[in-house]
Amino acid sequence: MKTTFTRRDFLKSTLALPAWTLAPETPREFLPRFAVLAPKGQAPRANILVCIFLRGGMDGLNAVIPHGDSDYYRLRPTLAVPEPMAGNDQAGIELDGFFGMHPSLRPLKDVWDDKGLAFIHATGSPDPTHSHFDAMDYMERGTPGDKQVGTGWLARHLQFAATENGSPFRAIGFGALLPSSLRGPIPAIALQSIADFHLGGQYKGRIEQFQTAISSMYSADETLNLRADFTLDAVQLLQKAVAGEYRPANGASYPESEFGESLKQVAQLIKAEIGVEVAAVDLGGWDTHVNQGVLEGEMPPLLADLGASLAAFYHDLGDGMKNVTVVGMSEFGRRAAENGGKGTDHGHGNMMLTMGKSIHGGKVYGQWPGLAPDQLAAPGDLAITTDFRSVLGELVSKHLQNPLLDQVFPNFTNYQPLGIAKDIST
Amino acid sequence: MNKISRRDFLKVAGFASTLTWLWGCAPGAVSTAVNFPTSTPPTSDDQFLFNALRRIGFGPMPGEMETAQKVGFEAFVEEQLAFESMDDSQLESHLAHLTTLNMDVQELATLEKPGQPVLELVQATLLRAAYSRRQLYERMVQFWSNHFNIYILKNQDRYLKTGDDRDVIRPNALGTFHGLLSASMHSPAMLVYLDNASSTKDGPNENYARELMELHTLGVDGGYTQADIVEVARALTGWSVTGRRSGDGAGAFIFKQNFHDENEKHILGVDFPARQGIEDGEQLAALLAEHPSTAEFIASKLVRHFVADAPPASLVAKVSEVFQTSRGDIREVLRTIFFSNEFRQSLGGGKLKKPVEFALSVVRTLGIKTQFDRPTTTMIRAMGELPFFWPAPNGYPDVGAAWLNSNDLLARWNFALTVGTNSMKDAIVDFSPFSGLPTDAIVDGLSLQLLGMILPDESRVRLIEVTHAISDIEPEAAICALLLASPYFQYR
Repeated sequence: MKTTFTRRDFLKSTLALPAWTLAPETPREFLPRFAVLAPKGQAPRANILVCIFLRGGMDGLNAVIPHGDSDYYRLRPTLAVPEPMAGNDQAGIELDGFFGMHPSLRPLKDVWDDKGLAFIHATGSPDPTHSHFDAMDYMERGTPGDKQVGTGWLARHLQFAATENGSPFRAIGFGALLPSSLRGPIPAIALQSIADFHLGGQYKGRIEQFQTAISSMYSADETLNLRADFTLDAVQLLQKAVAGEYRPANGASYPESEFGESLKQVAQLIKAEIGVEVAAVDLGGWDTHVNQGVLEGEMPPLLADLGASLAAFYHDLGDGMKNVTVVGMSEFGRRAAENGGKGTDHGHGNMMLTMGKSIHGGKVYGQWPGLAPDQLAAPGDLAITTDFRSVLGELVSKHLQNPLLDQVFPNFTNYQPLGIAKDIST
Repeated sequence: MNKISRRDFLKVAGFASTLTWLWGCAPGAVSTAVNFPTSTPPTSDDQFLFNALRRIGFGPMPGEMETAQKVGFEAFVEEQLAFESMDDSQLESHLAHLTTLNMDVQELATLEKPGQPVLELVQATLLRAAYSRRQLYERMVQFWSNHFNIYILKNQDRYLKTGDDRDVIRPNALGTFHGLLSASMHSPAMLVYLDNASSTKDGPNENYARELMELHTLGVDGGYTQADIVEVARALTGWSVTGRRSGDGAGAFIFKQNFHDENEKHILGVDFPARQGIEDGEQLAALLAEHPSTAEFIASKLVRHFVADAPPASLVAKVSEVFQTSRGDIREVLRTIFFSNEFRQSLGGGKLKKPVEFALSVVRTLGIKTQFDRPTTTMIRAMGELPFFWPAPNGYPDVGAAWLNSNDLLARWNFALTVGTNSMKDAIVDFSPFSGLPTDAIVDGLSLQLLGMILPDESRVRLIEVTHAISDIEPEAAICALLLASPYFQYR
């Protein structure tokens, strides 16, 4: 007999039992190593992936600068970040002798030194579109050039990863709208604020009465009913699991930005052990056509927010980062040459980042294609030498232990893992 | 089962017409008997009309259904299309305190409270949608604001968007598409938002050129290339805003001849001769407005907005054709949509209300008086939408799937439960005419008012039972909140 653990069961177990014990009688198609949620603090749990989407087309050439490539300085006479130089904290931060980090990412230097941070350069989506919205769609669906697939790559991972996890918090998207990567048959939580995730008005605290009253009305509407039921379960679970003010560990201090606040809440939910497997967080504003800036302007404050928030998350989770990997991406990079408005137009190849203690960090991965005229992709962009699906695919298969890459990234035949993720050996 | 007795009916009717009188929203309806809260379910004609009203407008105010019933659907649509002839003077009192709406850009830029124009424009948008009789017009204003989206918190758009709303969107919302497009291309707020203001012949900026074709006219699959984007960017070099670098907050449209690329251009297969100056941009506006891809793109967006998330191809084709033959006459296009079979057949579901639509329908169907002060707008924003707050140029999504998630549903419920139980200081519901009525009469009266229908039996019985079980909330408030939170109220 095949037994599956439903969300309802999950909820009952969390509300009725001190710890959750699940013993599926028959495995599904496959069962990841750490698939079953174990009692808190007693056994390894399923690994977690946190996906950061940098919306607007982040300028990877100025975030992780190829200071060893003289064409970089030729193409960006006013926008290039200065070469790393000892004692100059306004210059790039040395990474490996060829690449450096933008100085506004300084909080991540510790993480880099701890080998908890890796970059991949000249990566991205092979589709040539320069439209934000098509490029985001392709990347979030994991299907470059194909608009027919309606589900997101994270959603398909969840669908085909038989983790026997019935928690409504399996997948969380931070923000008012669910990102396309999480759209699919497995419902994901959209969440703006843990503190506001409860019923209001005179119905505050009367969730059962509310549920009884509306359930018959919702039962006539299948689409809404599923979401309503799911949402009420999540509200109930969160009330029991997360109480009081959250204090980050290890002196970690998150910026008071929307992004910092979101990452702090991801940490809080991970530590509450309510079954989080994937979380998606956005940081927007990277469309720097004008006044991009080197040390001041549109981009440095965004980098500062990104760097400080990620570093706080890393330190807050501490050893927990062995089970948590962060991956950051943007829909495309920006034109190699700066434009006339001290900004950059839409480009192609870009950098991605990964962070955690189950990656081989302290390294910039990928093959550098160069920035000379004959090395650029039309109409003057960094070329792509690593398909973004090779990076994500490696994290899905090694970190999340889901071998079904052909389901997560359909029609992707050029999977070439770079060896970023550690093999889970014990 | 007893539903509403005659005595109850009169009380319910009194409730509705009291609100009508308070708001003066439907002259002529005040003295008319309110005839839909009856002991029998509404006829299919009534149901059609109620659904059409909430699809075309933001939900009928008490009394508006009766007015529409008297003239019929076609006359209602024609009256809404001829919005200039509708007396809307009562709206002015709602807006009188919003002093920034009529300020010129110099005043706006130098206000003591820099956030004032933003807050007032958001408030004005919500107040107009809530209390204007020109419901279709206000809906189209919101539609075009979203189509030509400008993020109000980007740089000078904090104070420039006021002019864009007043001088670009509102005068052209039911005019011609060419007029609207041309006005938007001359809009300082748009030129700043998409960076064209700093685009010069030595460094043409592609941002506006791209979005102008991708989002405003042709659509992403409308047949343009990267080369077209560069050429459009060149054609629009010098289309700028005054005093941008002088720091004095000036912000009028200016064509800077010395920034303009005077060489010839080749756009979408059409030659633009050299030395045309500002004519390049005007020729471009006409080319884009009359391009068949634009007709199809705008038609599909309008049909999506008024008919279905997946726009029926048959209707898109018909509307696209009317768009072309009428040279982008927005009224003709809308008429084609509203009088189509596809529109009629789509009523009664299908279009999930976006958060702002949801909040406005709560306010309107209950006849609530609110200023949309911070507590209310904060709750609306928690649902994920507030006018002019979408940062990307594509505007808020107009399909239900984008909104149907736990955050949105919970925030909707909380708006319903807070306003419905009278827990919001800024939005008071007058339940007094319902006090003392039997529970079933309250359920039926409120169902008719909010949903235009009597609830199906099972839901109706359950609602009555639950109301009896909740003893410490007034039954009319408990019922009202639950009806607003119900799936029936989530669609338009």
